[in-house]
Amino acid sequence: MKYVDFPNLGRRPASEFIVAGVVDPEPAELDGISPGAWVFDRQSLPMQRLEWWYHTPSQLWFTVKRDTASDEILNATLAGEKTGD
Amino acid sequence: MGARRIAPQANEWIDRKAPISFVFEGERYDGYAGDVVSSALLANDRVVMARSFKYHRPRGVLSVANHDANVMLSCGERTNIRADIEPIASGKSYRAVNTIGGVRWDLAQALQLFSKVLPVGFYYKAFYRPRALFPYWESLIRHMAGLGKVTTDAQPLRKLRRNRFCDVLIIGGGVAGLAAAREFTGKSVDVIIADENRKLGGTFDYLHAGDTVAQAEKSEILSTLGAADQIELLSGHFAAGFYADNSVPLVGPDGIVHVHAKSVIFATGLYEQPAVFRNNDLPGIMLATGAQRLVHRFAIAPCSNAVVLAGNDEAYSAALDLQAAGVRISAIVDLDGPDLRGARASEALARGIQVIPNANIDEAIAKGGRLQRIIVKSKDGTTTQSIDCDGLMMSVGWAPAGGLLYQAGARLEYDEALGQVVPTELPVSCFCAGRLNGVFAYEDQVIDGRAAAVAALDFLGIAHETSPTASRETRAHSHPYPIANHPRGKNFVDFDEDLQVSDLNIAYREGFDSVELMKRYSTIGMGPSQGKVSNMNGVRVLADLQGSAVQAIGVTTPRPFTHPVPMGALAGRRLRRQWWTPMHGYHVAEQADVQEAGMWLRPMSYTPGSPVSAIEREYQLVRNAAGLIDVSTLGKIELFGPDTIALLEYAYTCAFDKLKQGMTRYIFMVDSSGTLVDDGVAARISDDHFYITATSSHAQAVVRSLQQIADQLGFDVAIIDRTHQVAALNLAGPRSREVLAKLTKLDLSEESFPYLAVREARVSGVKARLMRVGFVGELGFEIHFPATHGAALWEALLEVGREVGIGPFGVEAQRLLRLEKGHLIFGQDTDGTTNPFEVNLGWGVRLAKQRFVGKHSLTLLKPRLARRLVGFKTTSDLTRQLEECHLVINNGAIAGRITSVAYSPHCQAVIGLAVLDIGLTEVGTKLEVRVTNGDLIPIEVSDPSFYDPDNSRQRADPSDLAASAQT
Repeated sequence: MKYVDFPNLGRRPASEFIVAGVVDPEPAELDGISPGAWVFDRQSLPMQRLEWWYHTPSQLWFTVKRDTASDEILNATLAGEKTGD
Repeated sequence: MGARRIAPQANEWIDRKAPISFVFEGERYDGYAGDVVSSALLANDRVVMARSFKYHRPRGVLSVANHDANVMLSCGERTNIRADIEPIASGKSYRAVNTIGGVRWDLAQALQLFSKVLPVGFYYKAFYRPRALFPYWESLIRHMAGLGKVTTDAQPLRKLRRNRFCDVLIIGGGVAGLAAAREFTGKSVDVIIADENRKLGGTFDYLHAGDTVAQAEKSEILSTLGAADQIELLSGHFAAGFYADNSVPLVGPDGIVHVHAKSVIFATGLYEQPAVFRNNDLPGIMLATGAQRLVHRFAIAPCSNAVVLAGNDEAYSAALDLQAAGVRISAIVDLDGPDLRGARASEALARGIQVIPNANIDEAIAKGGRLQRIIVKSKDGTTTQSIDCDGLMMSVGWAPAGGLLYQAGARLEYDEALGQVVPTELPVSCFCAGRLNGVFAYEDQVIDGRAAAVAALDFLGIAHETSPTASRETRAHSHPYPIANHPRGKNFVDFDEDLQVSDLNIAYREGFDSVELMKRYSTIGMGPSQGKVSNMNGVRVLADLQGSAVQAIGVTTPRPFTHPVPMGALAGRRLRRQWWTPMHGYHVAEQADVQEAGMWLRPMSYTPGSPVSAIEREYQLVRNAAGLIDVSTLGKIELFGPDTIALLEYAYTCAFDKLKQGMTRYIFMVDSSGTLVDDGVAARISDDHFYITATSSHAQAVVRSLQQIADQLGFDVAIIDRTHQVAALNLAGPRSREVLAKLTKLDLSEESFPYLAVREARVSGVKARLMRVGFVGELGFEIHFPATHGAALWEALLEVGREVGIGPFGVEAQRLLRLEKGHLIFGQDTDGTTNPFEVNLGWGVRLAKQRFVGKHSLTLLKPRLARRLVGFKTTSDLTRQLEECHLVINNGAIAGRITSVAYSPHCQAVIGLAVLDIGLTEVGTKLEVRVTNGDLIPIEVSDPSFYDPDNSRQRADPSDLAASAQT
């Protein structure tokens, strides 16, 4: 079993989480990006990025800053709260 | 004399008081309890046990451990059983896999005469063209070159699976592993020590069998560990793989123990490697450790006259060991000189054993399928001699049992001095000990085991005494190139796949010159033993071909599993969450055909097996009187707050501004690519209070995405998932109003409670929310109420409806009823690529909205409609053969597929829904459907509203219906 050291929740089994990736809300205007690119193109280079994580038992969404190269969670913020980052 | 049972050995695994007889290839053999099939066969001098995979060459034992796959058997429903580890059982009958006519007479052995024309890559090259003949060759090859046959009607055997959390997992119960385990006694550390063998001990049992100091220490450790409560001993369990966060499945006879360890000590040891020379696969030729396992575990002398091929110190120990067991050692053929080999070599010489230095085996020669003599050639090629022998023990080198280490993320490199791949970098929580770590001397291995345990204690932050550390050996225990070329080949590198040195040569010459490419083209290491006794030699051959150093070659990645894991163990015990509706008790009591639908259990019909007649009877109830269906499985979500409309407008495709208080509407959502994901009903209870439903299997995902949107966009909405708090049922049929009126004071007339309206009222005294919806195409009321009253209200409705002939109906009747209306079911009539325009839901998409999920994709998709859901009818006699997913054919080309189909009592014909290419969707278009047996059945495109196209029935008063029936 894979575990996640989650800042707000402690060490939890990874199976408790649903990771929704880097999800931006669909904007009213795409500002020059083609709809196909907006929907399908994803950057997969190693990087630090913000992701949406859902914790199933507590039914809470978090925004998580994760290093995709080291698979390390740098911080997590309860969605709706102001990020301290 | 040949192979035979010898006098009792000090640590033998067999029980001489328990004789057992079994059958192999139709003949009866005797052995003892504790014997494995191969040891019991050798006790009877049965040396030829199997045939090889490709050329059907006779084969015997090699490692007498789970390292090679030379001898694989079938027994009843089980197949590919490894004879080296299968305990014999009374009355069992075994057969070798992959023979035609049995091991002795295998007709396919003639194939080896053609081995010159069956080189590596032969199948890729030979059967590529003509394409039309490929199925013929394929069936022939599959017949000739398979391993065991699977019995498809075998009983599924699910094994238990348990999770086990611990502080330290020690993999390998040999010298180093046991020494490490001893270090944890008396400490509050939860430890598991696992070994694939039936008994803990590892090399104690053979390499150190004659060492009295070692044997005394082994007994002391085992009794110490046996008395230690916090140390679990798991013999007979192999570690199948290494997964994230030190998660290791241990596969044992009773299933999988899934270990989650804080730290892991690898003491997995080494696999002995064979030498490569002409006919090195003959029965009678085996690994020296294989012979030693036979002697010490099973009290078997594998032959009468042995030659030992030496490439390291261990060869001399093995020779002395065999001599002590009563085997005559005709000669030791040393690839170098005995002066390099340490004390045991001097001892062998002192005992008068003939040593032929600086020589190699040029060829092994068989008689009657088993080894008869060998030709020894000096290193300079000047002299050859023939030596008679019926056994040849190879002791030329080792490869790490390091698969798990690679999976753990460790780094391993070839150590030139040691001639062996050793770990150089380990993950923080992982430790290594023993020969795997390049530590060979007994005393050093004990120290190395202790050192690993101490390092693990350090990691865990537990106090401990200090320990000395052992250093790696600096002298090679593996020969750099124990491989001899021969002009006539048959020098096998991989026994599983019958690969010769020349095959690797060809692969290299054809450009497959890296280790990963060579593996895939030649299939080296891809057989059942996964390269345990072939990859190292393969790497050495490749290094030689490239003219580079072994460390420059690298190794292929060993992936899980280390050994084959039975399906039944992988499947484990079936343990799935189930959800029951509040009315579940009623369904069961009425013997409904209850089936799984996602996590829910739902009644398909109220007759076991759901025969067509039962479905039609329930259908008629709804069409003619009143029926009741449990829809508590629907997702039910309550939304409050000033931004509720904004949230719904963004999450769903339609507009909500025109939805008045007290009314409902049909809603659906798409993802950002415009694909339909869920549908339901939205009821506006008050200005900023909505109640929505979602499909049964997708409800949680809908709640989740609504919550995510609210969080992303900062909407002020409270979202409450009430799926499990609220029961729901649908009362439908022309007389449903009449029935419901008996239980509520609510005015149910068309004027005050019209179609699509929502009302709150008490029904049978229970506070309920009622909606006029029409999924099945009749007058109907969907009633939502607290789950605690589920059974009571359900039964009250059945009771008051008795005089109109009310009855419950299941999912099957509901599917038929809605199909006559042309209403679609998400997930059945739509799939992971369907957009709203394709299923005639364009009316529910408001592209003019400023912003919503999928808007940009839907804007693109709307003018590009390529296919569309239509209704179809057919009157052919064969129509009952039509099934969902059958292809629709137009002039021989695929034009679409059926998504729903059933016999319609209303139309007196088979009707259905199909997705068709645009241009073929006109009503009246004639097409065909290819059914399972290949027949073509004609269909005709029609309007999907097969029943009551103007929806008069779902709005009507009973009085209106009576009037229309009279006209």
